[in-house]
Amino acid sequence: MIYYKNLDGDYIFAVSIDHGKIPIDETEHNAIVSAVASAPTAPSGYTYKLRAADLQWELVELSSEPEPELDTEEALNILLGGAI
Amino acid sequence: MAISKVILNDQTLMDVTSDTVTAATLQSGETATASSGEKITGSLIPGGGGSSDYDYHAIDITLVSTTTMAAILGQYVDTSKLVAYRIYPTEADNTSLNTFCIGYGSSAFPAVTAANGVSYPQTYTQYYVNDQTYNVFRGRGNVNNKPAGKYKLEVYGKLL
Repeated sequence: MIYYKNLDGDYIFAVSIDHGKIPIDETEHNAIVSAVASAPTAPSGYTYKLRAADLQWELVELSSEPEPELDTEEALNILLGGAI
Repeated sequence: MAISKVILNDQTLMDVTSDTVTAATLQSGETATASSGEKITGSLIPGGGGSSDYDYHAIDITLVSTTTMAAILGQYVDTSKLVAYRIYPTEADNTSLNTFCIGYGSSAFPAVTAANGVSYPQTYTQYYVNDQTYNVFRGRGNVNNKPAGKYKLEVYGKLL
């Protein structure tokens, strides 16, 4: 089993198993998962991001631009190789 | 213990922390040192080795922060080759219904009940194009702000 972390700029985006970008050891994986489990609750419209450098949480504003709902035609375009 | 960086008298003698080689990208049988300092043996088979742009992959991921579905796919999948994906929570206390899947063929993803009790897929529309039947499954909530937590991401496509 190989653990990975994926970054989004200076923040940790996610950790995963067997597929990912940056291999990490189990200790670091467990530390990140543990941090996620104890993440503070963000106020509405915000989220906490985990800094990769020191595993400290930082409050950031969520994007206010909603992702559009896909209709069936757009979904079919994805199936046929179109952009998502 | 794996060593990824050696500094002596303020001089960096060895540093592999920014190396990007992984077992998946290293030719089968070759060895190298990963960014973690661990020795790895390559598993990549030149010429594809039977893999294709449409292989099935399942990844256990823990999202650290609230994020979007597009961002998740962008981290793991070559979206120019993406055929279908499904994502659902794998821990019972993640009660958010945030999923979306597009099925390729008649049984791209078998029905599954996630840890939060929600069954996927929920509905679908069928298309028949170029001698292929496409079932477009739709069962999702808000993909914009997907909360942190543990998920299973299933993909028919090519991973990055």
